[in-house]
Amino acid sequence: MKLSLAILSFSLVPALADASPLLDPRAVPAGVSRPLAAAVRIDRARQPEAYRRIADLDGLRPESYRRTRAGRPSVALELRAMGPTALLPMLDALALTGFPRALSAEEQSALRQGLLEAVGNLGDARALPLLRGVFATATEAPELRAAARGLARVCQDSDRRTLQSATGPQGDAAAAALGLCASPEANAWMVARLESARDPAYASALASGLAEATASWARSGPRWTVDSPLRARAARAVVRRWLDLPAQRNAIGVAALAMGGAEMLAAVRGARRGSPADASTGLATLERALLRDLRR
Amino acid sequence: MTGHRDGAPIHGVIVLKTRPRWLIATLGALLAGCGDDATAPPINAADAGGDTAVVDVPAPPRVRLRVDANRDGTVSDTGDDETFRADWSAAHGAVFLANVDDDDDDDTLDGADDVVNGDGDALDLARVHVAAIAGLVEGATGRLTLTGPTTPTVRVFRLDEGVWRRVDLEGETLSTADLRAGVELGVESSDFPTPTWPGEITLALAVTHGAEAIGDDHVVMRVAPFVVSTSLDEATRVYATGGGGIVSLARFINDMDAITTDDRMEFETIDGLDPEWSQPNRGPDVWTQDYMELGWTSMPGGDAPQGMNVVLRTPRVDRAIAAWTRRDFVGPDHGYTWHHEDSYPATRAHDPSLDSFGNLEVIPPYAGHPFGRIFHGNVATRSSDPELRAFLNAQRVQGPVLELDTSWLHVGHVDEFASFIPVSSPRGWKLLVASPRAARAQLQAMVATDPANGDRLMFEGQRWFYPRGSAMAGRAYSATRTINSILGDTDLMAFNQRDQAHIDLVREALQTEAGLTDEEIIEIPFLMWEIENGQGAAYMPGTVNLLLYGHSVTMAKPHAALVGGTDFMQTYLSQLFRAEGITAHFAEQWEILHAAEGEVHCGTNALRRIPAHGAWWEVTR
Repeated sequence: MKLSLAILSFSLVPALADASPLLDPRAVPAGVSRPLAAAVRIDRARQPEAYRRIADLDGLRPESYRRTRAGRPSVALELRAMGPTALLPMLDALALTGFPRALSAEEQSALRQGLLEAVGNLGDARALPLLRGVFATATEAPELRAAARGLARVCQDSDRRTLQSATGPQGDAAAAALGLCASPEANAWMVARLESARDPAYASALASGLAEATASWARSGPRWTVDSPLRARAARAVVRRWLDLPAQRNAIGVAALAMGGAEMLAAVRGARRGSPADASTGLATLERALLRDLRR
Repeated sequence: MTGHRDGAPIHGVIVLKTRPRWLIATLGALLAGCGDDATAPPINAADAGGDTAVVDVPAPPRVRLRVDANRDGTVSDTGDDETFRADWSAAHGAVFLANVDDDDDDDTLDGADDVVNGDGDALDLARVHVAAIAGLVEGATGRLTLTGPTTPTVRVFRLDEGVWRRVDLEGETLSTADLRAGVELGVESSDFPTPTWPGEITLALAVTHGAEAIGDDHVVMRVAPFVVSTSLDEATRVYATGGGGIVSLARFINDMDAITTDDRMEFETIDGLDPEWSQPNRGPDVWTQDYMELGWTSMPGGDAPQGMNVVLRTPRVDRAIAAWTRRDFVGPDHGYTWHHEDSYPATRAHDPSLDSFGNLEVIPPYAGHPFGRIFHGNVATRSSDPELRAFLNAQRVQGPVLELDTSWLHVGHVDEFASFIPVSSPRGWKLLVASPRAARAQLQAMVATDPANGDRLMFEGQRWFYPRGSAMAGRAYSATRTINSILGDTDLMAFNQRDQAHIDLVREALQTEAGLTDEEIIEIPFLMWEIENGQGAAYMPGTVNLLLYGHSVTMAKPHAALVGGTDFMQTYLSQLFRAEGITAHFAEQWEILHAAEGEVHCGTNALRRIPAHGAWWEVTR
């Protein structure tokens, strides 16, 4: 049963400090923390084991993460595996109680990052107030990315507008996440913006977002919301930015291949005609890779 | 390039103006010294004006250093050893070794002390002969000078009545008797070329009599580089790291033991729990590929190159088990070197994971790169130890290092997506690349063949997190999923399409670099998944990450769906490799390696012979 935070009465919960051990306090104002605390109290009574799991993450135990090949703490995967019942325990850890033992800076960063990713991955509206706060206040690219993707997964209109209007590092994170909205409005907006984008990082992020929206391998899923004419337009815009922005060719090239499909192949072939030699070589590389995929 | 071409000894009549004795001596010395030339015209009095006379003077004593410039393993008095003694090119030039092994097993690297540690060590010295100078005036002395690096240390030894001792280049001279009899010298370096020292030295000898210069000569030599073994080089021993009673590790070690026994390959288990490197709250460091890179160095030695295997220790100073390389690997003909930043630059771009040697692989030999070319994951936003890269580039033979973008991988190693096998073809090898595309196609084909296949289970009985035996084992998550569930997971599929895009671009970089056709590339099917922050790792066991020796590969058990009672992916891979003349083995490693983001290659290493064609000196780079 989903608990609506909106219906929780503030009078039922104790006042909490506007602070989070894991997040910038500005990301967790009282209007977020109070109803959350109430919801958590009920949830904790109902499923204490879910909270114990969060408090005992394998990926934060040095004896575990030091044996992994990367050798650093990482919990996103483990948290995602916990599924929807972990939502409130994760929000509790993020916004209210933190972690029950002292963490190194690296562990704390991994926990914050993993919680934000896993919370956002659930696509649950109850996480939106917190994710909005994080998106508005975070300065680290991975956290901005996680918050933006969390907002885009639910993609309420107001959040979509927030993502579309964001600028700077927020804008880059938002553009790359908007593909998860799987909304015609967001898709059309991304294509239009990419057609005129000049900022290299932002153009690259938009291309990445479009790849998320149009990944041909995910064709059977709910993301498949881009009709063929728009896909063709998107493909042409991606290829145009690939040509215009040599320093971004690797990133935009990845986006082009991640979009895949016949429309992208046509756009690449179209661009090859009359392109300068250096671009032609790169486009030939993209064409070969696209053909490999289409032949499967 | 430096050098001079000398011909026959100088004898005869020099026509010169009457001049004081000191000038005659000086002119003689100039002719005899570096750059002298038997074909030089006589000094003609008419050129200089003044009174002339014809004086019959004895030819000045000839000062000569000799080296193995023709690279036949011996030092001769004539021929190319004479002609090219001060040359260094692909065709000629003397070589000396970084003497980094420990032939007398005294725990001191041979190049780090002032003594020659026995006959084995003497073989690692490059010989330089001071040619006997007949008729040298009594009282003449010779001084050796070395133009070379400050670090590493280049040492010169001399052989006196069968005993080697170090020559003190600052204070020691060669006596008249030494010079009349000739002297055998030996040269070694304490380490390999560096970014500031390409490896070349000049050893010069100046002979004087009091203030009078009698003659001089010099030779040019170059230190041998550290060369990384390619996976196609002949293996002599396989390593893996064991430790204690960890069941999943014991299963992997047992499998490797059985496979190598079948293949008659020596197998050594490094004790991951040795007290010297065992760390509290940490099991054994099982990533045997990552804490050392094995290679070799050599100089011409006659029938076969004279050289040694060398281990390059990972730059990571916190990698305690890497101490094994110094303590246990080092010995006779087993050398050691270590290059790292003393303190890492305060930049967030440095990721110590990239300093692991699964991130340092070699494209096997191809046109223009007869010893292959190193490739390595490194981009500006996520970079490895700069000192390591500078060291590798300074070796030149396998460089410049081809840097690829691995920032999309959580671990970030090139061995997560590429490996090689030998094949019967003009090139002699093929590239294997990770292929989520091929994996997805295989799963789709299974369902297309029979929709009921969609309900078959992948990874049956396997788990994520909380390994068996740990206190938390009861909380492990089942990894088991149906094929339909995997194919229908749009997040997973979109992520795989993105990773395939990254793989396609690095594949193109490798393909273009080596000039490979599509037929020379084999796609190894497995899916990836996101670990965190958009960075991925193998979701299905990463079977491209394999151990190769001879015509045998060992890779992870795929734990794919059973068809007719057998793992369909294992069957597919066995057939795929058999078609290339390769025997495929599968080791159980899910829990100890795969679930910790590594596979068989990550967990093993191999010592390989110095290639028979190991004439690195013929590479002009």
